[in-house]
Amino acid sequence: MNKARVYTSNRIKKIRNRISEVDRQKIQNKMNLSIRLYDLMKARNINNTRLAELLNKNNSEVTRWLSGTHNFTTDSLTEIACALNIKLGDLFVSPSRVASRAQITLVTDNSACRVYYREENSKYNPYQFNIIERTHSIDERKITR
Amino acid sequence: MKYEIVNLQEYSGDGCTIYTIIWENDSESIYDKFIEENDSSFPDELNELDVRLEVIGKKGAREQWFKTKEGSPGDLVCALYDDDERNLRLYCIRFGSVAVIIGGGGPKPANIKTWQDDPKLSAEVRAMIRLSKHIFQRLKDGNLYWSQDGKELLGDLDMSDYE
Repeated sequence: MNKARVYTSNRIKKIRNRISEVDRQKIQNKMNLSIRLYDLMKARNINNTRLAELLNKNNSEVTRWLSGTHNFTTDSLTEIACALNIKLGDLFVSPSRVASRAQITLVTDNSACRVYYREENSKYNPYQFNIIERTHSIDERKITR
Repeated sequence: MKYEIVNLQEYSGDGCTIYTIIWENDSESIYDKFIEENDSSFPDELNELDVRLEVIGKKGAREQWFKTKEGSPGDLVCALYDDDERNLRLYCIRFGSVAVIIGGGGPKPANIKTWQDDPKLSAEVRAMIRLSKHIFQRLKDGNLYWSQDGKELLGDLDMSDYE
């Protein structure tokens, strides 16, 4: 089983050394934002054409937004957030963190505490509710309260 | 050996293995040549490409970051996304989100609509199309194959039968 030879490039190293950390983060953040936007669109079954329609834009503009190269304005991000029915801040939160933010309902009796929570994504699509039930001991219930 | 597929250590990551090509008798890869040819005119764009390729290695080669269908149907030749504000175009062969072979490219004149309108870009795309056909034939013949996780090209990477 032969693997490709690992190649290190001095020219790439030279480029690496000259990029400032701020510039690096600017580019990384644009790409991360494009991932988040794409995933939010996909979760809502909204394709490029539909988002363009919702915002009265050309398809090519949505393609550019998703390319990871676009420098968004606050106004355009606000428009996108409204079209996707999310808060502006949700565009900057990693999917795993959003999934951990949940509505929690506690149902208690003398012996147990049942915890119901639904992940944030379910708020937008009632058919994808993710309800998890756990049974807690009475001691844990006290801590939770 | 007519050419060699090499793993670009600076870019390959958990999301995507990034390869480039070294032609026989060359000491540098075709991506190195792309850098050399464009560094004096477009250093900022090369900086941006560097970080973008690093992110692709970590997060995977998401289709949204590429201009697909740059080559012939089915050859997977594409370009890293660029818009009117950018001067450089970089061609590659994208195997889903898990592996990319970076090729060459060049400045994209503002007055052209397609790569066929520019001799330099035409030469680069045609080279990628030829390489893609050769690699696909090798995969078909079983001389090359994908690792179990689909992220790495394995097998006989000595491409001596390229014409």
